[in-house]
Amino acid sequence: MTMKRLTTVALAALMLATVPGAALAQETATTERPTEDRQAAVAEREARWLDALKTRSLEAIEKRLATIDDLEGAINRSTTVGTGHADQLLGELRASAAGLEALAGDIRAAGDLATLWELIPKIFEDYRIYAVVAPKVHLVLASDAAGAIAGRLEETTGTLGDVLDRLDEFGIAVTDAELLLAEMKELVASGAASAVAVPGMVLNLTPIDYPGSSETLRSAQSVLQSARTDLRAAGDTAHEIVRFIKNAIGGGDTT
Amino acid sequence: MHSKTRTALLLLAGAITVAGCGGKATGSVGTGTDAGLSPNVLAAVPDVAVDEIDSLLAGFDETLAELDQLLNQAAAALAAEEMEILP
Repeated sequence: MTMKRLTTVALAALMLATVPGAALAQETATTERPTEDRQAAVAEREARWLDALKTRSLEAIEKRLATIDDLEGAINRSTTVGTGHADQLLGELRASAAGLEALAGDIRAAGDLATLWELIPKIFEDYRIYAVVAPKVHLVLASDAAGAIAGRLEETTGTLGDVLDRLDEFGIAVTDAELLLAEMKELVASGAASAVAVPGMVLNLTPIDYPGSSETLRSAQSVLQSARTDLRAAGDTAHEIVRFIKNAIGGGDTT
Repeated sequence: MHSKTRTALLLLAGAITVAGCGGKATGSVGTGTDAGLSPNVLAAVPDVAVDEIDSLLAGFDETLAELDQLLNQAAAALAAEEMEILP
């Protein structure tokens, strides 16, 4: 859907949601009045439309401000988000919130439909809170979490390697476990590479990148899913190696 | 047995024993399949190493579940694109 069509649909949705019943009733009631009365009725009707549109527009802004609050909360609660990423995202969210609040002021002050008509599209086009900002924040948070998991697993490969070396020194056959460890290292490296690629794909997306940004965001999501699959497999492999080690220490079957 | 030969065999046996303790394990340790492992093997993989691995892996499933939750939120956010046109 093109940006113009999106805007048209948004405006149409606003109009349909606010005025049809009242407009129709008013039209019927004014058909046989004198001209002066009709003009007054039209003015009154436009004033109602103006108020209704303002109300709906301000609700749309409030909804976006609430979403921004939620996103800020998610960033602040994250224990794995990188400081640089958090700073950039929080900065963008605060700028969006300030812009939307200023826009709300302009909408409240609008004295006619033409002015309002120019302001309403800005709610969508200038911020793209749902189409760009929210997915971007969630993808960066998820990629940093995946990166942290990869870091822990990498640390684990080091410890597992040390233990297998010690067992090997004592003549315990560790070839199979070493193969598993090599596999685990590849999975961790692959998962980490995928995770670290995501912020570079999405962090610099802005509202003007829409609608092309949607494809980029979906690609980033796919890369992140791939990271998750690799890290899951790496974790499973680590558990398998630990079982081998415990069996070896406990005198169980080490094959 | 001549005393010199006996002494040499004893020394060789001692050398093998020492080498066994410091290098490759022998006997049941070497197969790793007997119930009783040498204390040297247990010392080679101290509890602290196993505990460390356990602790690294203990939270793994939980952490991965958190990642899944974040991925679900990202998917939901991507699916909510239409909210852009329905104020």
